[in-house]
Amino acid sequence: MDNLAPHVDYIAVSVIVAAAFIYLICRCRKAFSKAEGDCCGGKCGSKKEGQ
Amino acid sequence: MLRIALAGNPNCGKTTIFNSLTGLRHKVANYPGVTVEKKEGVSSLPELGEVTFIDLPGIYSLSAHSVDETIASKALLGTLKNNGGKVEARLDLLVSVVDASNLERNLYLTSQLIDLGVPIIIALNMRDVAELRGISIKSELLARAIDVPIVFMTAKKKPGISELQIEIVKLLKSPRLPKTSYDWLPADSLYADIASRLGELELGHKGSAAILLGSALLSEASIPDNAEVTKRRPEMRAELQKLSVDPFSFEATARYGWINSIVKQSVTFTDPNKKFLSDKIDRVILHPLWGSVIFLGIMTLIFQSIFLWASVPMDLIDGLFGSLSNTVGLFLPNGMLKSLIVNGIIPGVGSVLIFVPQIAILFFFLGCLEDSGYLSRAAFLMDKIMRRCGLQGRSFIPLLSSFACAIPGIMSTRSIPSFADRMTTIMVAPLMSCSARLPVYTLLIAGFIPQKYYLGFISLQGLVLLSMYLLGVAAAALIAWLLKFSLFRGEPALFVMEMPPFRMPVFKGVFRDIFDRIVLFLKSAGTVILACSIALWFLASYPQGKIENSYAGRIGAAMEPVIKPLGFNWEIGIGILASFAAREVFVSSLATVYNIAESEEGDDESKQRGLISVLKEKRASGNFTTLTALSLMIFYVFACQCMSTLAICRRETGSWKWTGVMFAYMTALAYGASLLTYQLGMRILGHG
Repeated sequence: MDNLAPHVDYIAVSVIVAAAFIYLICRCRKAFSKAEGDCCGGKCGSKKEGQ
Repeated sequence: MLRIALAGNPNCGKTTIFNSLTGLRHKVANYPGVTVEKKEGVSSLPELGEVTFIDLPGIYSLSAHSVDETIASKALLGTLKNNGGKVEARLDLLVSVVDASNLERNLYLTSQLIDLGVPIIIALNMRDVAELRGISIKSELLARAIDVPIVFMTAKKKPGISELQIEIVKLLKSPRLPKTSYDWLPADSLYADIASRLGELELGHKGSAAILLGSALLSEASIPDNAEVTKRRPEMRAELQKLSVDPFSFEATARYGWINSIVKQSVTFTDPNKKFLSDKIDRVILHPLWGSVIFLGIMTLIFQSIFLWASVPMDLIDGLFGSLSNTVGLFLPNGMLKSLIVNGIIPGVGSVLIFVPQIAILFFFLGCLEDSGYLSRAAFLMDKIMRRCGLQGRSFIPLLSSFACAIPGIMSTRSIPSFADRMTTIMVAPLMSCSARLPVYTLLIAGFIPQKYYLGFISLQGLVLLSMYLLGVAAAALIAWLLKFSLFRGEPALFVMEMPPFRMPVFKGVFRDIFDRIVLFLKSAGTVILACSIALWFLASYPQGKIENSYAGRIGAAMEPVIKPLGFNWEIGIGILASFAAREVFVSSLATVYNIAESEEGDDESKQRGLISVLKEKRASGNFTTLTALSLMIFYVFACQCMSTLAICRRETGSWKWTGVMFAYMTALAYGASLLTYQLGMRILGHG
């Protein structure tokens, strides 16, 4: 199959890689945010209030 | 919006009713203490529109001793504050969930709830269990005696829930306050005077104030935040004693007197001395010797099955991802995008997804054990052993929950009243091998441990897996013992736990739990693992050239002096570092790094092989030894490689100090144990 135009290849990969890094940073921040409720064990999806 | 709270004793079916009323799927199990926080769900009721249902942790009375009990008690007494620091809106209706097979004890809390002066309905649950035990309840008579509407029901069956909904609507449309009785209040005493003033000024209701005051008299720990109460408590106690009223028991004596008179009128027992099947099973299962043998047998069966049953579906998923990689490779043009998908995303995500069958099998067994009522028995059996380590049987459920995930495990320590016991349990809970470690163990076991069988059916691979779990348990016992005799001194509290009756597991619920777990696992594969695979592909591919010179290669090389004594190379180091996001990421990162390395060497066939085959090949060529695999598994048994666990530890302990202590001791333990394994192994094998 023909190669993609180099700039298209470059832009697509850059966007995906940047999105992955941003997601991981946000996830770290979210995990350590005090207000974050747990989402483990299939318990998500309901409104929970802090105690 | 109207607010309806469900309150009751532990394990009486509150969450089952809550789930049926709201359509939510919160965890339910056949043992006390599953719900440890307040949960809310919105549901639409005919003629009323949307209402909020509140599911509260189980309590035996409004006198709270542990964190979960305090939440429930405060929510019912109207003193719970929301995130903004304001006291929550008053409840519009209470549903007192009562276990019909244990009526007297359950009605104690109901009698306190009645005194709160909020419209109330009794959901007389577990009708099926009561009938099976020969308990005949005339619910109409009971309703008339208490003067509160009663729905006699089985929460798992639809008709009961519909009837309860109808009664809720009726009572909300025309609210009727229950007939409160303060006969138990010592009239004309300082106690009654303070209760009355507290009710008028602070809590807005005499009943709440009197009950709160009662708990202040009983226990120093549950004093309401009121200077007058604190100051005058000894005076109140002395005055009550002068009136020949025991300040510690007068409320209970009066309430049980009332309960007994009601139960006498409306309940008959066909044969009170009859031994039920559940009691007969208990005689064997709770036997000091046979009980322990059965417990070990069940655990062995679970880990054997994980390997035996999962191999076929695992091979199937592995093959599927191999073909996907090849097909995508054929259709995509050469370039960075193709490399990202074929060498990064597909092997990264695919290598983790092949462990779905094993996770399903683990949760099938855990679900069956939870639902049958066996876990409470296991907690009882373990109490003696746990006390020797300075823990108590109450710690067993949080520790057992941690086999699924340390996060609900740490949260369920809220049911432990003693601070020292709770902190010790939190500190050791992450040593229980959670389901995220399962892919790491099984990958290494499948790659390095031969498929041998003893006695024709006991597989060596299953035994190695079981030993990894047992190693975590042994380390937890040792650390708990050390903590209880150093940082968290104090005698473990007495363990009192209700034994729920044995019952056949409800397979619908078990399979729903498995489904939820798989969805959660797939969600993690589609988010964290996918993002880590992409990030790692980038780090291992750039700057272009040899993988050892890439960013990942350089980070790995910087780590190598520290991890080399453990038998780990830079690829493993990168995996360990990345798996801090989630332990499964170790598997995906290894798959990504190996794929990029092999594609560099022009080995196109590598794309058709799964990670297990790659590891087997590396073992044959001596690049990755069985000793390294063993050292790595032991590292993962002890290491606190989980960001979410640290976050929940911070939240539950309210301290970064304890979170730091947990991370430091677990990392040191992992390093030390791994070092010992590798170095000792090398010497035994004659390489040292």
